[in-house]
Amino acid sequence: MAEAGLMALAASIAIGSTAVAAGIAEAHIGSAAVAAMAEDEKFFGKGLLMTVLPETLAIFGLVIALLILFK
Amino acid sequence: MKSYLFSLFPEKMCYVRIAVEKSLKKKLIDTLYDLKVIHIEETNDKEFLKEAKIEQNLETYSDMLLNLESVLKEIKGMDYEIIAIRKPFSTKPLLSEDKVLNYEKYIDDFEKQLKKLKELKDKYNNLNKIYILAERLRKLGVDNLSIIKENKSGLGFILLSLKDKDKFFENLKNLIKEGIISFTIYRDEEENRDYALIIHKGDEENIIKKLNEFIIKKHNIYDIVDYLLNYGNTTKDILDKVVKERAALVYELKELEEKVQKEYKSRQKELEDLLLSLKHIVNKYTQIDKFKESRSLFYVSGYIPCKDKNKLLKALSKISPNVFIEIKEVKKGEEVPVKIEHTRYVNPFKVFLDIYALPKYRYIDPTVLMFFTFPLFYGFILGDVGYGLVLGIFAYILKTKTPKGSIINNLAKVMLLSSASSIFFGLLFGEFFGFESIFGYEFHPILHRMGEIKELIGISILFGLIHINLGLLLGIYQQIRYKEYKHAVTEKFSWILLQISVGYLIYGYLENLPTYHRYVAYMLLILSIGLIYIGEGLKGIFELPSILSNVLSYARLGAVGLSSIAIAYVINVFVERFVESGSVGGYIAAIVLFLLGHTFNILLGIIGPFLHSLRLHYVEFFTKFYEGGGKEYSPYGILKKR
Repeated sequence: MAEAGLMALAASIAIGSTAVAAGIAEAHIGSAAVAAMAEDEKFFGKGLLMTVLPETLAIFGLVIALLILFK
Repeated sequence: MKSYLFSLFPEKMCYVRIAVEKSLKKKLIDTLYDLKVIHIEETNDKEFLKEAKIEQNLETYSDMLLNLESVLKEIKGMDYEIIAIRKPFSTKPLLSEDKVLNYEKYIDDFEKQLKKLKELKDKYNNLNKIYILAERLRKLGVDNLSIIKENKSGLGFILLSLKDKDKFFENLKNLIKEGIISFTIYRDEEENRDYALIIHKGDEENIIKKLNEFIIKKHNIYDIVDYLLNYGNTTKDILDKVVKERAALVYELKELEEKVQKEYKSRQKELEDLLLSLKHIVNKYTQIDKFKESRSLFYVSGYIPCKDKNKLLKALSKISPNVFIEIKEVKKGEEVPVKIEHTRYVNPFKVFLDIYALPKYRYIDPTVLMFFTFPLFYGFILGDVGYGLVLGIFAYILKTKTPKGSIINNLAKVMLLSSASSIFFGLLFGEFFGFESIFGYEFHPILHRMGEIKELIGISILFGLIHINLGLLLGIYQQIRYKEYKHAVTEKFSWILLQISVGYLIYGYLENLPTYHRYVAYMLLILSIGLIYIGEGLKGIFELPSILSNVLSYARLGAVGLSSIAIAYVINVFVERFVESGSVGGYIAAIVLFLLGHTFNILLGIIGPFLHSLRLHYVEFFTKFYEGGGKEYSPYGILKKR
């Protein structure tokens, strides 16, 4: 396989796998946050904060993917 | 009006205590209600004071309000909430309390008329139901209902609605040995359904079991007959009777309906004013328990914006010269209601704090900062002249169609500003619905997003560095203001120092600076980590990488925009291919794809940048300084949404 192809594959694995991981984590936290918000709307801020924390994973994945692509 | 454009803190509040002779109770209540400045705070510090009571009959007003609301809801299905919220800041109830009471009988009569109208409608619907059932049986050959009811012949009757008429017919022929004597079928064109009446002398359950596949439902004919026998013995009699009764009823119904509508239309404004007045009166007296009284004294305490001090004093002096008033500055640590007020352009951005949590009193209110940064981030992500224009038109329509002050209306105003920012960045990026030219005019982008991805992500991260450090600086400012110098250094400045030392270290390696530079950088790094440990303990040490992830998080500003432009690019490539085909079908396909594709992308373009921009504020920015959990300033005299 050509080097460009391997790089594209590596970048897609980096962003894809981290996005899936972030998705799984956010699904769990999100459902709990929505339940808390249903009880008391004041939890919106905290709920949102907790829910988006795992997004960092995807951001790291994105950065690695970009580093691979634009090396 | 005073300008609050650059106000970084909630409005300054003062604590106020007012006491009057009990005879002046009503005057004080009315004055404070009309003034709409005092946020009443219940106090239990004076044991001799009991909960205040009023002579006015709150129950009468509440009943009137409930009745009027149900009348208005019934008559037009109208949203009576909107009427009340349309004028929440009117200085006085439109009608006096005594005048309102004059309407008591009027509302009762109106309600009675509506009740009568409802009864007539129910009766009319019932007659229709009888007509349909009698007509159905008549079409199926039944005239004398008592034959079925008395059943002297020992025959059984089954009424069915059919799934498949032809198959039912085929199978029925095979069931003669089961005791079927005859049957009739009738098609109800309105319902688009076939009905069958079977007369048999066999086992009903067995027959149904064998026909089950071809029928929708078995109707209980004996119940239907019982019901119809109340109106007559034969279907013909029933139909004649129902037609006559219905004709008379229609006339009565129409007459009453017209009367009620006419009455409502001629007094619509009056009724709306009455509703608003009632809402104010009920609102005024339901909060009376927040006032206190003793045998001779009437007392209230709470908070007012300090700037309204003179307004309050002037209004109270009109009640009596003997009013006891104490106005003082609030103490540190006191839980004070928060009033956030800015200019009319900045005010809509308050909606983001309403959704999240209001800041505590004395802590920074970032509304004015969001006024600059939210549209900036939004525009940077969307960055397309065409999308910006569509979004602007959409936001403008939404703004004009929604009630002023509502969450949607405020969001529409925010979106309007964000669309202007999108157009600005669209010009910088040279994009119009993803195209790089518009009607033959080539854009000359300052930053070509698809071609200069590295630069785009770099600028995004630079935005992040500035935004996060602005948050930290605000945190330092806030803590210095309250003389919490140690916290300012260990919890806020330490993070800035951490960034400087890491940056210095990297720069030193990249530029091959003399070794002592690295030592200085390492020392700064150790110092910053030490300060973080002192300020935040082990938690702070574990969270060291969070500053990196926070900054990198801003890469989304470029990345989300890239995904939007990539979608637009793919749509345009296909559109161009269809156009190049030159055929009529190709042109039609191009137009459909262009409209559908870009509509989809605009929808994504509205939601994506909005959520990502908001998230950067809530998660990355607010966490550096924001103290949420403030209590909303809610002055006595303002109607609350229910």
